[in-house]
Amino acid sequence: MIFKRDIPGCFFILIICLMLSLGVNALSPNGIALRGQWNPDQGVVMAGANKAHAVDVMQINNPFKVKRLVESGPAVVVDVRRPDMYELGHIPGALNFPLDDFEEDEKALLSKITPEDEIIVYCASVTCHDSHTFATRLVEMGFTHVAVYAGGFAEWEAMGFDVAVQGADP
Amino acid sequence: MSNLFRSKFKFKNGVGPASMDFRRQTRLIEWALRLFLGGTFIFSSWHKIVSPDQFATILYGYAVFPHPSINILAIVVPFVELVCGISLITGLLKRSGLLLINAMLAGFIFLISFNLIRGHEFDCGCFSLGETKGTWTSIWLLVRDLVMLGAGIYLFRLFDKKDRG
Repeated sequence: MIFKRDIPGCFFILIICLMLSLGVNALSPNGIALRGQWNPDQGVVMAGANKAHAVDVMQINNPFKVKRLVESGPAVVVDVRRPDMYELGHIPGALNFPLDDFEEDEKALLSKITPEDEIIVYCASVTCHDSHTFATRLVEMGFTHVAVYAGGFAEWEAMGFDVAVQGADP
Repeated sequence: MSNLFRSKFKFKNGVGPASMDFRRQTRLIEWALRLFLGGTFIFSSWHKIVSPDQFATILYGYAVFPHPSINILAIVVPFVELVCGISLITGLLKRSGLLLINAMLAGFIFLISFNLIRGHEFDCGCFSLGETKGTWTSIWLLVRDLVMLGAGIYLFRLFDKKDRG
């Protein structure tokens, strides 16, 4: 049987939790924004960092623009998915630097890109935000021309664009 | 008959040895359940507090919550789990803490059942972020939450009995 004092107790706990969670979130480096971007039509879906720790990263939502940049420009494309997924298929010419191995692969990555390069980062799909995390780290390291391909490999493949498999890259 | 037996073997304070054993057992069960439920909720809250962005993505994957509420839920729910777990173990507002734990378990059961019925695969995000998806995983989660809810309801009844003396 629920006593009358149990309900105010529940509200008391909830109020404590609300204040505590919002306070910790505001101060934590891992804190998130109060409102995220959860509409796949508007780019990568993600919680987003809270304002104190937010880093602006450009997103490309148009797959044709990515295709144009890949085919014509000097853009460096970085695939941040796991190597097994990369081997099955990736955007032609893309380098594979999984987000999980960022620290270990940092030297190898820096030998292939410079802060002046135009860099396009992608991961599996619009619901994966590894590309955004990876791009954020690059921006924090001083890279200025970094963009995320929001649709990721799923969209590229669905558009019927060329797909390279491991060993078939020029 | 049993009343007659009890009255013959009553101690001075009116409590027989069988009754004392039963009380001790009940107290042990109560403590075990408090530690189990409280500990589980504290443990499960930790990774969500450390990585709210990943937990928010998992909530999005449930495809149930309105988009504007996802971040707020990802921020607040782990702290509700943590504080309720602490309240249950320490005994501070333990009845209210347990009520909230039972309400959360009922909510989890509803969410898992709803997604199972409509065939939507999702990451649970219960104890680690990035758990495997799949129907059997969901069924296992459902059974686990039902067992925990049963334990929570039983514990609440124990609290009730104790409060009534």
